[in-house]
Amino acid sequence: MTAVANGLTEDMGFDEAAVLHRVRGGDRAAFGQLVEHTMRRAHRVALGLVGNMEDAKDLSQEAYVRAYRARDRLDPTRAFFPWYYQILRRLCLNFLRDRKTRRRHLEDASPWLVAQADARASGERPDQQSERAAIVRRLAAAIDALPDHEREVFTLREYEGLSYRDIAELVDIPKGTVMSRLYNARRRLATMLEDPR
Amino acid sequence: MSQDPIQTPDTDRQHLEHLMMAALDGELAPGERTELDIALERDPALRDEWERLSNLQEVTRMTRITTPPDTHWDGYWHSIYNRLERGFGWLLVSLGATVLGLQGLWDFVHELLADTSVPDHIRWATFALMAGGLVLAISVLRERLSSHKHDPYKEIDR
Repeated sequence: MTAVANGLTEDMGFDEAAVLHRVRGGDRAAFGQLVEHTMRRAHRVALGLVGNMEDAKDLSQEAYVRAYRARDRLDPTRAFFPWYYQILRRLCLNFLRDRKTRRRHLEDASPWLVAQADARASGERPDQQSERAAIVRRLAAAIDALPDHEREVFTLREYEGLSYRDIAELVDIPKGTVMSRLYNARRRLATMLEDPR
Repeated sequence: MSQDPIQTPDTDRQHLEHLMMAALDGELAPGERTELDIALERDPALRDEWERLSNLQEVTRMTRITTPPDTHWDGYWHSIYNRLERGFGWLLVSLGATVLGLQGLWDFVHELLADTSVPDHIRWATFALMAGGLVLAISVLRERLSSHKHDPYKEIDR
């Protein structure tokens, strides 16, 4: 779990082990600190999975609620996020399985993927900007259409920047499966971007 | 000194797919770059695929996941806190309702049996209603248990 902890720790000054000890004892204020410390990453990961800002917020909050209720199973000697991620990903995958909610998501117009700030501010002409925006929209739609398990690995790699080893530990699959899912996801995306029908 | 083009056998294909991924993500082990370069040099189809995947990588790299506005985080923790509190409240309400409901049912049946003025058909109808409810409850419970045993998605929280 050390590798995952390295890949997912945002603030090295945060004494997570001490906070986890307090959370295990039922200290809600300590749990609040833990939430404040990890909520942005939790939300981003959920957004990568479900592609909708409000749904990502709701699912990440619900995952925190379930995490607190299961605090007896917390191990203060291990990083919190990988443990929390197991709860979050189950909620998100379950959510994606529901066709009704998926339709609701597709009707949602707010973009979950945007161009990098440096790309937008590079003095492009308006036609170049709109072309770039169109590419980003097509990529977002193509990622939405990926099978859930491929989408998960793809977004963890591309947007969380996690190593293969970190992803393997987080998703609990062999490293070779991570690479196969990534390959399949990228091949599908390349095909969808070439032929957007 | 290029070699004749060949098609990579299926048995090596997955290994080369993994090498292409590792190359794109900067995870190649020492020596693997040469192995990949030789394979790309020899197999035109693999080379085409490598170019497609590299182009996709360029497109992906110019995007990022949306960062929500600061207002998005207003009340984030409070909402979790409220849900925790509400969960405890619902637990107490459910416990209380179950105890009171069972006690009420017991009193009702007790009074019904003790009251001789209640016609027999009402007694039988009440008995049938309760027995039917019990049968239905057991049936639903058994179905739930059975489907849970054979549910391939049972590890996913509902």
